[in-house]
Amino acid sequence: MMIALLPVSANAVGSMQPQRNKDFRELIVKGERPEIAACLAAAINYARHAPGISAIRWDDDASDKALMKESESNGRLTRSIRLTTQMRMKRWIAFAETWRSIEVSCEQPEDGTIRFSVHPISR
Amino acid sequence: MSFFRRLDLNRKPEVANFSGCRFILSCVLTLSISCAVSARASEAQVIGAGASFPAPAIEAWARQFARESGAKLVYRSVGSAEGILRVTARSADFGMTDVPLTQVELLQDDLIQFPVIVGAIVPVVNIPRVSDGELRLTGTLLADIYLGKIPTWDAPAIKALNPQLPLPNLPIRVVHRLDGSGTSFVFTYYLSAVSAEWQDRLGIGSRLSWPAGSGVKGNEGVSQSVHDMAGSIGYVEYAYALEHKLCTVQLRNKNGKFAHASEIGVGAALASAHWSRPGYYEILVNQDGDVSWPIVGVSFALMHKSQEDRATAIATLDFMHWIYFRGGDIARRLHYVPLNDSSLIGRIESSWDEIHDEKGKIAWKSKN
Repeated sequence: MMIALLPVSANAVGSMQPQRNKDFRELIVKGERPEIAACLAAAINYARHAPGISAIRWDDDASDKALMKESESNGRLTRSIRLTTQMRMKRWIAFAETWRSIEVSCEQPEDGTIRFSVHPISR
Repeated sequence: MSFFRRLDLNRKPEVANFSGCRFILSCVLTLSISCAVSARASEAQVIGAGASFPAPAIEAWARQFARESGAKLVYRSVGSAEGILRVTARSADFGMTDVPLTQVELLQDDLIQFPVIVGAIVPVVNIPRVSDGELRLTGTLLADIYLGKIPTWDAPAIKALNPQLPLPNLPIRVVHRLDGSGTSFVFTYYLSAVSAEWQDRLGIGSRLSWPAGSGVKGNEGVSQSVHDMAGSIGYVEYAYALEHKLCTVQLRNKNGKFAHASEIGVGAALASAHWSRPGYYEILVNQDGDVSWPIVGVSFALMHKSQEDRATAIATLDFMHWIYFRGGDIARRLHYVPLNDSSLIGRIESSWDEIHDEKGKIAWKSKN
């Protein structure tokens, strides 16, 4: 059980190359805030491949509350986004799976790889 | 894996009835055209959608371009986020957005982005016995008003900046945008730049969980609400403030001077633009300069690099080219600031080489 929870309980980090992305397009077409869509797409990609997670969700409230900042250093722009999602933790049997609040943080240099980290929000 | 976003699961993009609107609007435009028809441009009908910020200029340009070229062109003022949505969904040939996309975002959907027009975003107020341009505000005070921390117009912080004004004991009624808005994006970008509390609590957003006030759709909606409601404050593109005869405010700029919204103030902010980032990403808030207006919005066009219809792609780019070379007077008449830097325009038009048709050929060649 602990192994299954490891990706989020261990404050996972990751990255995603900017390239054509079906999730990004889908988020935009569903009306998501365009400025946070790349971060959400990275979170979806993470949840899809993390061994301990079976699904991800968030609601409009979480999207509207997502905190975005931009900073410039040596002429280089970096966008930072922090938002709360819920991820479903895998269990041995599907009906025992539970949703857990997870904070996703993204750092998006203007022309580089999206770096992100996820960590569970303690109750 | 399952993926859902609770409240938007069943949302259908506003494209279902779009072909019908497209047909009706194109008929109206077609009937109004009496001039000679350019063989190239008239082959296609161009659909644009997006930001309400540049809508007055784009609609006027479209009418004039249609008169001169015979092209059929329709622009839907639906907000920046919806413009990005429609170009992504390929239900519009070009989108207009005041939320510029970064290179990371452009790469995720094969998009090209370039600036088209610049204008001021102005706070507007409806306070009895206060006239246009009289009220003075600072950025932090504006942020505090939008944070809901200033309850009435005669609050000490406002009176201290405006000792000569007869400020009433009237509740401040904050108006903000409800739809995904580039005007909101630039406005909150400014509030984040001048208020640490705003940056830490709300940040930048085309759509936010606003802490105070009521939301309405479009620059049109905000203008109407502020016009109708005593005690209100909103933010709109300058042309809307003039059209609705709304009272603008003086805003203290980065140099500590109180500036009025004007084409000169926008031009001063525009002078600091570099346009050196991918996609010409540029946000012109809180720029240096004694007369610089501190909240300036840039409207960007978005198009797919891979175009499905060559004639439509060419007609769209013909229209953009016409805007740069023939649209300046119309823009100025509507109190926008057109882009007239020939080097910038040359770079933009060169970047159109990346746009190709269904056969992989470059779609547009300059006629100059």
